[in-house]
Amino acid sequence: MARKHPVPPAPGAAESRRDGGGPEQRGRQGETGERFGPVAVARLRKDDGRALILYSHDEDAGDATDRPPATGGEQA
Amino acid sequence: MSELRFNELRGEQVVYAIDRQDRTFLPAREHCPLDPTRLGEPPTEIPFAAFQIAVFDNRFPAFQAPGGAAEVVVYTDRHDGSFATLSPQRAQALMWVWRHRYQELGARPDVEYVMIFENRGVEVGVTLHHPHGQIYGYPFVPPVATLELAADERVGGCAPCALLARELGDAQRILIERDGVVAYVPHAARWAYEAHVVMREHRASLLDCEPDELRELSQVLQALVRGYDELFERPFPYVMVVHQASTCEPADSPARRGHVHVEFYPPLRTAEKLKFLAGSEQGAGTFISDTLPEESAVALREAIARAA
Ligand SMILES: [Zn+2]
Ligand SMILES: [Zn+2]
Ligand SMILES: [Zn+2]
Repeated sequence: MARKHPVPPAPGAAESRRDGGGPEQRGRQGETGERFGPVAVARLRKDDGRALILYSHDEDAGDATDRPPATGGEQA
Repeated sequence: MSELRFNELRGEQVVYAIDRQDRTFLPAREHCPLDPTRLGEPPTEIPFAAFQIAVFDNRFPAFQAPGGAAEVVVYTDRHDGSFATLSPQRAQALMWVWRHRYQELGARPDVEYVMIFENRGVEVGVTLHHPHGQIYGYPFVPPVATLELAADERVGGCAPCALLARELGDAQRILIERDGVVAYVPHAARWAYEAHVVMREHRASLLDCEPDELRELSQVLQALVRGYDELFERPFPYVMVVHQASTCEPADSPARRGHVHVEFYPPLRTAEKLKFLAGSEQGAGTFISDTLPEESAVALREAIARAA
């Protein structure tokens, strides 16, 4: 059967990262307009190069008031 | 960079992620790295004043490209609370985030198994209290996933489908029953308050679930964890793990075998007593439990009803 890739990575063979190729290369700072089902997807990169994805969804009135935490503590 | 070594006696990989020794350990409330960034203060992991759900590469990864992935999923920009206290809309959106990460990470050539999970409570080694989960993209199929596929062979079909039918028939251990999602304490639970949340229809991965099923999944998961918190009237520690098909094969391949379910392993036996994995569990791989699953199910059902 068709494997996604012919050769699985060898144990311990990993070297430097950010060598390109993966889907993570698609995003640019602040790219907008991407959606996935009910969520909007914004792809960014942190200063140290790590990927950061912000997901947002429509909030209705009930969303602003989460249930009180079981632990107590401060509320925003 | 972590290193994999194959443990021959156990037939399994061990991951050496030595950089993780330096990771942030229970920082003071005002230095939470998962908080939004406040005006005039150094940036946290999320350099924005507000956000809903944020996913980023773990700063202290057990796996990283091109040898897998390790991501952090922050459920909310509010430090206090938990998965249980998220609004229903947020919990539902989180299911879509899980699905998105499964799709993206699973498409990577260096990721053979995507595992979405949450460790909750210092009892299970949590180092940050801010509501969050994690995702590992393993560069191999880990042993538990392999064992579940072996269970399919044993029962001659999908094991979660067969086990769900058995639990529904027996009914004693059912916790929550909805159109698309069922929660129960398994017949042979290893942990006193172990629970499995299972898609009623056979769904190999989150990608195969209908939007209504994802909504119900979020509702049942929240009802269960609220019940957990109610059970001993304290925040209830657990490990929560999403099991679904491995991603060795292309996404549209029928060879992607699995059945979406979420397993909870809570370490508490009573309000104060923890279950430790000791001689029999570690040395023989045999769990010894002092609680019958049927009795746990009665207590949990009542707690879920009280918390509703
Ligand atoms: Zn925080
Ligand atoms: Zn099934
Ligand atoms: Zn499982």
